Amino acid sequence: MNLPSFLNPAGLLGLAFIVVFLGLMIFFAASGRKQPGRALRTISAFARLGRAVGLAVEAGRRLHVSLGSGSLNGLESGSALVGLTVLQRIARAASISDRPPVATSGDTPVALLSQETLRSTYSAIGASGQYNPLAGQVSGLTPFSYAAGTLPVIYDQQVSANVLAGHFGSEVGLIADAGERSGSLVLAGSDNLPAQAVLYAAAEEPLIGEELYASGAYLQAGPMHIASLRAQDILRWVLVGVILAGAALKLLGFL
Amino acid sequence: MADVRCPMCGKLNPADLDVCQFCQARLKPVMGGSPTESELPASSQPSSSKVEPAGDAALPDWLQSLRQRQESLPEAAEPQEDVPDWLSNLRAPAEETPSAAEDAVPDWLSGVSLDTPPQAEAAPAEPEQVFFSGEEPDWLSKIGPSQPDETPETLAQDSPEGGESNLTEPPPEESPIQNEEETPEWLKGLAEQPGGAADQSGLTEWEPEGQLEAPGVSAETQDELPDWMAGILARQATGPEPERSRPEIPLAALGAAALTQSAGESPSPFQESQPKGVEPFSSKEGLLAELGALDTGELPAWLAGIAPLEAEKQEPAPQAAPVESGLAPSDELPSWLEAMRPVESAAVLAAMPDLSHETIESAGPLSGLRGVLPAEPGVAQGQKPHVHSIKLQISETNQANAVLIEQMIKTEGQARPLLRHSVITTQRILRIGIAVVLILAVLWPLVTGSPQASLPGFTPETYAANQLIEGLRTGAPVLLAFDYQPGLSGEMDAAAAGVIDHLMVKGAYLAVVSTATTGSAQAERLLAMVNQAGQHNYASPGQYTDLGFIPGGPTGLLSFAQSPSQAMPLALDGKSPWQGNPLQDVTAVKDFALTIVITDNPDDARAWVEQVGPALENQPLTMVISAQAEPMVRPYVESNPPQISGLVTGLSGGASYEDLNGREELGQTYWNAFSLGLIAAVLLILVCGLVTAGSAVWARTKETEGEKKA
Amino acid sequence: MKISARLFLAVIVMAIGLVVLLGFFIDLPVLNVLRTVFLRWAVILAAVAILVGLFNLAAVHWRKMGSRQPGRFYSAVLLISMVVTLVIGLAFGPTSTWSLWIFNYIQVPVESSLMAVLAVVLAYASARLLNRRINLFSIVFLGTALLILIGTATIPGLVVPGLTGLRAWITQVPAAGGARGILLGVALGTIATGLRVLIGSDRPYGG
Repeated sequence: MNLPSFLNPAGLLGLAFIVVFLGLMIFFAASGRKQPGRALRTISAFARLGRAVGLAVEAGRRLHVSLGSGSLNGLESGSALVGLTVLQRIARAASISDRPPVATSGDTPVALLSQETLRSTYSAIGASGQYNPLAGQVSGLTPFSYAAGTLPVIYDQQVSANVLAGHFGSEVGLIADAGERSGSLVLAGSDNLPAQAVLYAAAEEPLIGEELYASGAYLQAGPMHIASLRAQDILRWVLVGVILAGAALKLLGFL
Repeated sequence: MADVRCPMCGKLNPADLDVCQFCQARLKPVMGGSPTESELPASSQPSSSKVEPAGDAALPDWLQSLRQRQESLPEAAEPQEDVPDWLSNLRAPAEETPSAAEDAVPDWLSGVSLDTPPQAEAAPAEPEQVFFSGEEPDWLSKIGPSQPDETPETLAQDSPEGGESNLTEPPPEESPIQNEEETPEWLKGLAEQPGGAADQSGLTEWEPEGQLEAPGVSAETQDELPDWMAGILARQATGPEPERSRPEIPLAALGAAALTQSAGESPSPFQESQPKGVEPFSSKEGLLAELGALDTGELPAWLAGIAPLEAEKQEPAPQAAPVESGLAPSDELPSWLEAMRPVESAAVLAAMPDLSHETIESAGPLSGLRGVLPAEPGVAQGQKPHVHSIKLQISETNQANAVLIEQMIKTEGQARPLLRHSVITTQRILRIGIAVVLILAVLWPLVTGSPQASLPGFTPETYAANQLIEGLRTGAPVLLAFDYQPGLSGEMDAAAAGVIDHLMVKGAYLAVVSTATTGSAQAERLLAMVNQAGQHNYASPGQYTDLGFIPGGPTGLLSFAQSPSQAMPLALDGKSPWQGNPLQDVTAVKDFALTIVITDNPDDARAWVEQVGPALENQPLTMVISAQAEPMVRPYVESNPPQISGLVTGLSGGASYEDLNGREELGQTYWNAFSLGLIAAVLLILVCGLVTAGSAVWARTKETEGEKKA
Repeated sequence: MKISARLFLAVIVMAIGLVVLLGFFIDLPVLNVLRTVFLRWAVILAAVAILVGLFNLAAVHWRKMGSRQPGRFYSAVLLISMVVTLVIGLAFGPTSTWSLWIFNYIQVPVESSLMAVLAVVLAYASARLLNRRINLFSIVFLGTALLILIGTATIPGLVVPGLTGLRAWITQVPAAGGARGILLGVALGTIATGLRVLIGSDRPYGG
C-alpha cells in the first residue's frame, strides 16, 4: 500500500497510538459514568493526604503545594499539569481553612497557571475574596535557587503538609528534609528518576513511578482522570506485549 | 404570703381574700372542724397547714357560738369513736358547765324539757364547713321555723381523728319552734319529760335527697305511742339483750321512723338492721328519761345500741358495738318496723357508699362534704409523682468517658507549658556527625595528599568520545552545549574539564549554547578555568563564540536544530557569528563536526537526543553527563545504531578521560578526595543504617510486647 | 459572557494543540508552517515569562519585607541582590567581568554548598531509611546504593575483583531496565495529561 507523501509509517503509528489512547479514554469515561465507584488500588500517600488536609483545616495551618521547576515547553510539562490538578483539588478541599494553601514553583508560566488555578477554584466555590495572587509564587529560577526559596515557606508559614507534585531534580531532597525538620508531612512525586530515588529515602510518602500521574484519579478530579488511568493500564500491557514480542523475535533472529 | 387558688375557677387569689375575686366563690371554708391536710386535695389545701375558720361575718350567730364552744372543748373529750359525732354532741353538753350547757340548749329543746337544766352544748361548735344546702326537710321545718342558716351536720363531716362533733346546734337564742301549734302532739308530750332531745338536725342528714321524704309529723295523741317506742319501753323492762351484730342503720331512716308513724309504708330497713329487742322507748317516762340522759351525756339504751353507719361499713364483719345500758340488740324486728322498711330505700340506704376515705372539701359551697368532685381536674391537683430511682446505670465505658470529659474540662483553659524543642537532638547530632565525617574524608587527601587512590579504568564509550575528539581537525566547528546547573558544577566541571581541554588542544572552534539560563555564565567559567589550567589561549570570538540561551526547552531545540542561524542570529557580544569564519558554512546542526552536550539532567539529554539527534543525521553526538543520569542515557548509547556516540560519565569518567589524554585536570585532582569520601559515605550509611534499623526493630518489639501485656 | 470566554479559551487550546500534534505526524506544509509559528510563539512567551517571573519574585519578597513575617531581612537582601545583578548585567553584559564575578563568587558557591548539604542529607536519609520503612524494597534499595558507591570508588590498597564489573552490570542492566519501564509509564501519563488538556477536560488556564 502506497502511503501519501505526507504520511510515513512512524508518523502513522504514532498517530494511531494517540487516536487509540483517546478513544479508550473517552470510552472508559462514558462507561465509568454508568458504573461509577470503580475501585483503585490503595496508595497510602493519597489516603494520608486526605487526612492531612482535614487536620490542616482543623488546626488552622497551611498546605503547601510545590509544582517543581519544570516548564510547560518540555517533557516535564505533564508533571507540571498534574501538579496544577493537585493544587486545584487541595485548594477546593482546604478553602475553609484560615490559612489558604500556597503554591510555589520554579517556572514562571507554571506559577502564572497556579495563580489562575487558585483564582478559578475560589471563584467556583464562591470564595473569590479568599484569592491572593501572591499565593502562587515563583521561588527561584534555577532548581537549587527554587529549592532554597521554598525552604522559608515551609519553615515560616506554619505548613502542616507539603505536597510536591511536579518536575524536581535531586534538589527535592532539601525540600523533603526541611519538611521533616519542621514536622510537616511530605508527600512528593516527580517524573524525574533521580528525584524519585531521593524521595524514596527522604520523603515520608513518596510517589514512585507514574503514581504521580494518578493523582487526579485519587483526588476525585473527574471521571476523565480515572478513564485515562484505565487507558494507561491497558496500553501499558500492550507495550509490555510488544516489548516481549520484539525481544522474542530478536532472540529468534527474525529482527 | 402565697396566693390561694380558687377551687371553682382555678385562678390565683391573694391569701387574705375570703372570696375569689374572679368568680366570687369562697376561698376559705366556713365550717367547724378543720380536716387534715392529707384529706384535702393539694389545690384546695390552704397555704397554711392550719385551716383557718371561715370569716365570722358569714356565719349565723348560733353557729358561731357553737363553733366557739366546740373549740373550747378539749379534743380528748370524745369517749367513744364509734359513736357518731352528732351523738357524741348529745353527750358533750353533760361535760360542760351548767352555765355553758345552759346557753347551748336550743330554745325549742329547752321548751320541751321543763325539769332538766338547759342543755349544755351538745357538741363543740363546728367552725368549719357549711355544707347545708339550705334545704331543710319538711319534718324539721314543721318542728320549728326554718332557719336557712342552720347547718345541721352530716356524718360526712365526721373526722375519724378528731372526735369533733359535726353537729351544730341551733343557737340558743333562736328557737326552731316558734309556733307551738306546729309541734306534734307526741313531742309535746315528750317535752314534759326530762331529758334532752336528740338533735334532730343530725338525723336529717341521713336522708338521701328525693328518696326519702321525711314524712310529715303526724299528730299523735299523747296516748298513742309508736310501737317501736313501746317496744323499747318493754325491752327496758326486760333488760338488755346480748350484743349482736348490728347491721348498718341509717339514722336518718331511724329518725324518720322514730318521729313518724305511717302504716302501709314500705318495710322499713330496720327490719333487718334494727337490732332486735331494741325498744326505743318503753314509755313516755322512759323516753323522757332517755332524752334527759342525752342531755346529761348519757345515751338512751335504744340509741346507744345503734352502731354508726360508717363503722359498720368499714368493718365487713359486723361487730358488736358497745351497747348502751338498757338496750339489747334483738334479732327480731318489730312488725311495725318491718312494715316501714322501704323496698328500694334499703338498697339505696344499704348501698350508701363509704366516703370515709374521700377527702373533705374545704372550700366552696360544698365544703365539709366528702366525695366531692374537685373543681380542678385531677391533673392540676398535683398528685405526688411516683418516685423513680435516680440511680443511673452507668457502664464502665460511660464512666471512663465521663472521667475523661471531666479531665478535659478541667484542663481546658489551663495554660499548658510550651514544648521546648531542645537545640541538640539526636537527629541533629547525627546530621552533624555525618557532615563532619564526610568533610574530613574529603579534606584529608586534599591537604595531606594521601592516600593515593588508583585511577578508574575507562569505558568503551569514554574511549569512543576520546577518539571522536582526537579525530577533529584544527578549527572544526564543534557545538558545545552547557546544560547543567551551577549547583552541580563540582561534578560536571570535573567531568567535562578533560574533554574541553582536549578540544582546546585540538584547536576546535567552539560554538557554545545552552538551554539553561545560567548556561552561558557556566560556559564562560569553565572555559576560563580550563584555559588557565591548560595554558591555552582561547578567547572569543576568535576561538569560540557564545551563542547564548536557547529558550523554549525542547521546542527551542527543535527550532535550533532546524535552523541555528535563525534561532540564534546573534551572539552574546551582539555580533553575528554566522557571517565570518568558521561558522559561515554552518546552516544546520549537521554541519557541526561534533556536538557535545554537557548536562546533569537526563531529561535534557533525552531532549537533545530526541530533538536534535534526528537533525544531526550521521554526525556524532557525544555527551558528558552526571553519574545520576547514566541509567537513562545509556540505552541511547547501546541502541543500534547508537544515538550517542561517546559518553563520559561523572567524575570517574572525567578522571579516566584525563588519564587517556595524559593530562591532569580537575578530575584527577578530585579523585582521591572523591574516593575517600565515597568510602566514608558507605561506612556511614552501613553503620548508621544498621544501628537505626536495630533500634527500630527493638522499639517495635517492645511496643508489641507492651500491647500484648495490655 | 463568562461561559463564552471559557469556551473561547478552550477552543483556542484545542485548536492549537491539534495542529501541533498533527504536525508531528503528518508532513503537510500547512501544518508545518502553523506548527513552526506556534512553536516560535511558545518560545517567545517562555522568554517573556522569565521576566514575569522576576516581577512575581520581586512582588512576593517586597510584600514579605513590608510585613512582620520572619525572614523579611533576607527578602530585603534578595531584592537588593536582584536589582544590583540586573543593573550590572544590563549595563555591562551577562558575560562581563562583573557579571561573571557575581556568578563565580556568589551563585556558584552558594548552589554548590546546597549540593554539599544535599549530600549530607542524602547520607542521613539513607542511614534512617530502615528506621522509616523497613521492608524488602528498602533493603534492596540500600544494598544497591552501597554497591554502586563502592563500585564507583577505588579503595586505596585494596582491589576487589568483580566489583567494577558488578557496578557496571547493575547500572546497565537492572537500573537501566527499570528506568526504561518507569520512563514508559511516565510517557503514558504525559500523553494522557496532554490529551486531557487537548480535549478540554483539564483546563488549568482558568476554565
